[in-house]
Amino acid sequence: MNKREISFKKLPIAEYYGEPIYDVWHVIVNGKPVVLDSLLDLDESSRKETVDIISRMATREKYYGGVEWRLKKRKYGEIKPWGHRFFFFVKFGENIVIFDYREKKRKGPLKSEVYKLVDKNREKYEEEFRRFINKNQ
Amino acid sequence: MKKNSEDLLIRINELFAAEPDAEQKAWGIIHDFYHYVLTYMEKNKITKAYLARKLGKSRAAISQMFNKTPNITVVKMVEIADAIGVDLSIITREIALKARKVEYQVKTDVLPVFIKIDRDLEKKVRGKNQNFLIEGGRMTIQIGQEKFAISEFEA
Repeated sequence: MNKREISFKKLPIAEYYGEPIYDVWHVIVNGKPVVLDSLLDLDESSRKETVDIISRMATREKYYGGVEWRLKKRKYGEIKPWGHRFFFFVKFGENIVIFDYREKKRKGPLKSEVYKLVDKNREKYEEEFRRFINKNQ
Repeated sequence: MKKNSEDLLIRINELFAAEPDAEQKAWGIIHDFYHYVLTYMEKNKITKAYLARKLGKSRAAISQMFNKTPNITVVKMVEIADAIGVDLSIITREIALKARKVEYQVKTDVLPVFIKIDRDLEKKVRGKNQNFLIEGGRMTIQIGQEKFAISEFEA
C-alpha cells in the first residue's frame, strides 16, 4: 500500500470577519480534505454555524463562542457546533490546525476512548504540521 | 489529485471565503454573546453554579446551555446578562469595529507612525516594528507570509 501523504491547507477568511490574527489549517491526506469534508455533510444551518465559529477564532484573541481552547487533561481544543458534533484542533503560535472530527450518536459526553483516539491523531498531525511549516516558511 | 478531492477543497474554500448571509451573521451574534458572557464570567470569577442559582436552574442545565451554544431568544440573552451583572444592548457592527480599534505608534525605516489598528491585531504585533512597511504612501504589516493593509495611519 502507498504511504499516506499528509499535508495542510490554509482556510480563507471572509473580509467581514476582519484581519486574521491566526492562520487556520486543515488536514489533507492524499489530496483529500479528511476533516473538513464532514462540513459539507452537515445541514446548512450547522455548516454556517461552524464556518462562523472558525472565522471568529481566526480573527479574535481567545474566542470562546462555541470553542473550548484546551480540554481538561488534553493537549487540544474542540469546536462545538451544536452539542453532538466536534471538530478538534491544536494551536501552534499563530497557527490553528483542525485535525479531527467526531460525531456523537448517543446522549452524554464523548467516550474517553474517543478522546484517546483523537489524541493519537493529534500527536501524528502535530508532528507532520511542524515538518510542513518548517518546510514552507 | 483526484477530481473529487479537488472539488471538495474548492467547496470548502468557497464556504469560508464567501461573505456571510443573514443566517451566518445571526449565528455570529449568538457566538459573540457566549464569548462575552464566558469572558466576563472568567474575568470576574463568576461561576456557573452562581449563574444557575441566579437563574433558578440546575448547574447541569447551565453547563448544557454553554456546551451547546443553542439558538437563544433575546429575552434569554438579557436574563443571562442581567444575572451576571452585564447591561446588554445592541450596537451596529461599524460602531463595534471602530471601538475595537486602538491607536498604536510604530517605528518604520522612515518615521514613527501612528496607526489605528484592531485591538486583537495590536496585541499580536506589539514589539514587532520590523514587520511594518511603507511603500508608495501605503502601509502594510506582514504577519507570517501574509501582508495586511493598514488603512488609517499618520506620521
